[in-house]
Amino acid sequence: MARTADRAALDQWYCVDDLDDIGAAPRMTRLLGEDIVIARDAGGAVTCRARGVDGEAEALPVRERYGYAWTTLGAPARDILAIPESGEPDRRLVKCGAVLVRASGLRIVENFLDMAHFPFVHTEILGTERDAEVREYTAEIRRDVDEVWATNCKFFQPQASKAATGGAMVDYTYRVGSPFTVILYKTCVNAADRFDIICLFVQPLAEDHCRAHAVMFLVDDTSPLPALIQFQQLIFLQDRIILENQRPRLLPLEPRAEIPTRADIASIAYRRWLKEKGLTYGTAEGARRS
Amino acid sequence: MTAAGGWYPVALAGGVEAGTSNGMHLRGEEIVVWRDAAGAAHIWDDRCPHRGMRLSFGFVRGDRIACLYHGWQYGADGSCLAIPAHPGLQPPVTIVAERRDRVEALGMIWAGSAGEPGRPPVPEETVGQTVTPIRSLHVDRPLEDVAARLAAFDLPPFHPDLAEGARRGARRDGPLVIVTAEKGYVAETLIAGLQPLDHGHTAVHLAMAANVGDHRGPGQAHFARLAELFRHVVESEAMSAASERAA
Amino acid sequence: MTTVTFVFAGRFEAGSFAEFARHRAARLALSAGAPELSPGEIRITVSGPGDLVDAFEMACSLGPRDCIVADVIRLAGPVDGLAR
Repeated sequence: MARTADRAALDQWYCVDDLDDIGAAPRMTRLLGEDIVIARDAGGAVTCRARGVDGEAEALPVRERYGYAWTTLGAPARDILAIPESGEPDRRLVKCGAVLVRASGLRIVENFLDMAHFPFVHTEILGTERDAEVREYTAEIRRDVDEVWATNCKFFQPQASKAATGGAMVDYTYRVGSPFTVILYKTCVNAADRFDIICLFVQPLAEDHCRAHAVMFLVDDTSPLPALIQFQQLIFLQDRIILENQRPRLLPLEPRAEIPTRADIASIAYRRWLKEKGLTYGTAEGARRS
Repeated sequence: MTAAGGWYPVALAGGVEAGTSNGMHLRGEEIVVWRDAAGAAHIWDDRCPHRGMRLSFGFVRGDRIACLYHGWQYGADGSCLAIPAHPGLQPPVTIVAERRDRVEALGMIWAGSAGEPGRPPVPEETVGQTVTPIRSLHVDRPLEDVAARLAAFDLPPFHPDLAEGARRGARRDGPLVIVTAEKGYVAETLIAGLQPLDHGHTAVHLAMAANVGDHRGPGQAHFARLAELFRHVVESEAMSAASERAA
Repeated sequence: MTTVTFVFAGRFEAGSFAEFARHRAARLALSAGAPELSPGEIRITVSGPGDLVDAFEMACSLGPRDCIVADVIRLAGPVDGLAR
């Protein structure tokens, strides 16, 4: 299979595996439609190989960050996105596992940026029909850092996290660090002046198929780990029903057949940014071209 | 194009209960068939105009269907009636879901095709007779194959008086195959409504009509068994033909 | 009722963008003035309920496939005699 010609997709770092799962035995996975093999060498370093353009095994660069192995098929101009809070000593790293989704990875990121679905998809957990209003918030392309941010987001949540004990108005800030990685900063139940951090590192296996690695950096040393993971997995499985049943399957960058409203401003900013970059992998426009 | 002007049966009338929605394929397209609380059936494109979520995953409340994703509500005429993220907004009539013509006939729900007027065929054999639903089943064969084989298949009638000496026939009328048996005053009709799901798959909706007797229970069971036998035979014929070609 | 003049700046196929904006105004039942085209910029005034004017802004700030909208400026009310 030929390597995608989409430079905007190639020249990115992608999270491809959980470091705790990588041993000497090679692990097969895919990235942007290509088979890749991940393993540890005799010295314990993580290696990643692709079949390469001419069929010869090609060693890919590897980074170990946030408990995961990252690689790229291109030449990224920037490092993996920085999450300074991840270095705070009292932060708890919680890996929620990988979820396979039969959808474009871009749709997963877009859905992660969406608050309006909380009352209907995560009913009585992240939202309730009694208060489904999306209050005005801001979304912008920050050109100095080349990221998309959504700020001043507020939503009423009956059960905002595992640690929450009742309904509350919750503050959100979203940050899209690369086309396939997104971070949420969310009101922390245990520390009023800090935010819980939930990251979604999407690994596009194919244009319409991906693995989503969910990682949290929490200020919560009391909730048991399985309960934290279970809570997030329930949320992602609820989202998957949506993601696999949106039409078209790939993300349209033109909204002609859709009706975005102000509540969708984060989605619009994200799509504008993808369009500016010329990214087509996983978009309906890319599918038209090929 | 068929004689029915693009009309196809998509479900037995009882296959879609009031207050529910079913997603399905018709000629490769995704449609939703939903029945409001008052019992009226609706057939729309299976896609919410907001962000493309399939409406068949939504929930029916009263005379509206709401999208699972963001709760946008649509009335029977397709127009959007509420956008929960913006509770103060009265949506304009220009925000509408794509509807299709539909009608209930022969115990089945029929979908029309955009720009093709007309009505589904109602065979004269069934006029004035009571239609009893039998079952729906999927056959992994194209519609034309299913229609041809069904018309040639041995489908013995149910009524005991028709067991011997009955005049039997089968004919095709658009997406219908009509199998008849008649002797003296007893007449019985098996109606097979064919729904092309996509290129190689067909749903068969079976009902029967008769002028005497009650055909619920044993009559339904008789034809349901025959239908399963038919599917088995047709699908295995296709499989052995494929392996002969491969050999 | 809200009336807003939008200035969309970016790289346009002017005809394509104007058609998209008219189509969107009709879809949202907004009344729209004639788009005023100049190189790299399009001005259009629309009126209707505030939430729908916002929805018009959302769709047009992404725009049709062959246009890249870099900036959106929102001016209250009609501007430069563009009012109907």
